[in-house]
Amino acid sequence: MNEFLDMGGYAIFIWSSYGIFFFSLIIFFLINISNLRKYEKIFSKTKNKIE
Amino acid sequence: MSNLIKRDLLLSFYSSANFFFTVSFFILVLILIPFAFGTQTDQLKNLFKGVVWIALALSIIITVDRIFNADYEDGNLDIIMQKNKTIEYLIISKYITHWFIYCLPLLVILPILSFLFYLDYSETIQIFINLFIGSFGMVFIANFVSALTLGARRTIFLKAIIMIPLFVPFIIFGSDAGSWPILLALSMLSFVISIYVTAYGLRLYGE
Amino acid sequence: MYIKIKNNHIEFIKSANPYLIFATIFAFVIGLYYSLFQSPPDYIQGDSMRIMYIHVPSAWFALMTYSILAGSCVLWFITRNPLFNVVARSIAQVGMVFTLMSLITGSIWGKPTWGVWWVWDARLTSMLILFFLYIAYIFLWQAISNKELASKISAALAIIGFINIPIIKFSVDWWNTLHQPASISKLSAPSIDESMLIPLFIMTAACFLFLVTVSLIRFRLVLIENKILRTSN
Repeated sequence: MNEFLDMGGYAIFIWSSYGIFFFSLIIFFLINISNLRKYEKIFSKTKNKIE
Repeated sequence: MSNLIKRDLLLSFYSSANFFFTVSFFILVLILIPFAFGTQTDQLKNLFKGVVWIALALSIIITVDRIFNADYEDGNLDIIMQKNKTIEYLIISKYITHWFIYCLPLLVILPILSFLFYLDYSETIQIFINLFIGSFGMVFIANFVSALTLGARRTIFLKAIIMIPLFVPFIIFGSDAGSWPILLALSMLSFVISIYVTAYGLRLYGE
Repeated sequence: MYIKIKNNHIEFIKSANPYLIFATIFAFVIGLYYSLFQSPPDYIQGDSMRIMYIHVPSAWFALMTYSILAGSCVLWFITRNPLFNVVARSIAQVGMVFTLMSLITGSIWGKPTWGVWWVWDARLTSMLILFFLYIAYIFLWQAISNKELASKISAALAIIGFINIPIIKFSVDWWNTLHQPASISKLSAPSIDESMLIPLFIMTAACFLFLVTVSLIRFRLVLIENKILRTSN
């Protein structure tokens, strides 16, 4: 297991790049989902006002 | 067209501080070189050839707010556009005046500066030719960016972010002495694109 | 070529969303398994080349997304169909994220292989410029208060940026031959082994699924945003 984590001496590079990649993809995804929810709420409110 | 040029030149002569500010800015950016890198003659020579382009790019970026914004805000742009069916005359006159007001003083001051940085005669002429051709291309780019961002909030940073990637080819070829034909080609290409895009932007905002 | 977006289309996108999210996660898990466990280390570069499995797909999709962005802007100008504007605006930010990721993972990969974090080579420099083109497109849209104008203006900028990219690539190539002799030992990848092709393929598919999922979410977001802007004006 340690050998796997060590990655032939390149541990820092591989794990940091994979970490940054997946972390930012997930964060970006969550930001968009939460924005969508927010806009849907605002939209339903304005819709009610008009009706 | 000549009337438009005359009007813009007269307006800029009335506020002659503009000249003074851009020329001082240009000189001050270049004067930072010895402060930052020391006073070795060879190094200064090499740095000057590149930094003069950065100084030109910066001084064009800080003047980009003055091209169409004043006319747009006081309504002159609408009047000129209603009178002239072919808006391209207005754009070409803007190119000429912008170059005259903000680039020509820099080119005039350039030989003096290049002697301060120990450049010899032939090198000065090469830099002058490159800057002369490249500054036209940069002015074309600055004009269309100014026309496109008329309605944006007054953010010089946004304009700089748009313009600097477009300046990159000019700076690359400009710092090489022999590549003025490519600079000329780039300037012509940017003229063709710029006149089209500027007219598009002005028509959008003028309506 | 006028495609109108109807309510049942949006309903369909909405209902497909959870499946797409699941498929994306599934593909990434499989891709991670293959790229970290199942593929052999490279003969020359050792294990550091495992970064390739995330770097190459993100670079591909950064470029592909910009082509789609510029293409849909051109189509929008030709056909005047607002769908293309919505497509362009929903895809732009995903492309920006992929560009940033390819830059970051590329420079992390560069440190063990070249010994430096960054090389001023044509490919890297034009990727960096591409990132700023994405930023210019996104923030110009936000800076202009009249949103209908903002879309047109930023679409024009996207097309100009598309013209600029090959020019920059050409000029940086020229600049490299001018300023630096070939001092960098560039990666020469003659032929990739099949055992490396499989994880690369799976990761590419996963990144594509991510692109599709997030752009469809952003597609709905942009549509609602448009509706809100229309009602508030």
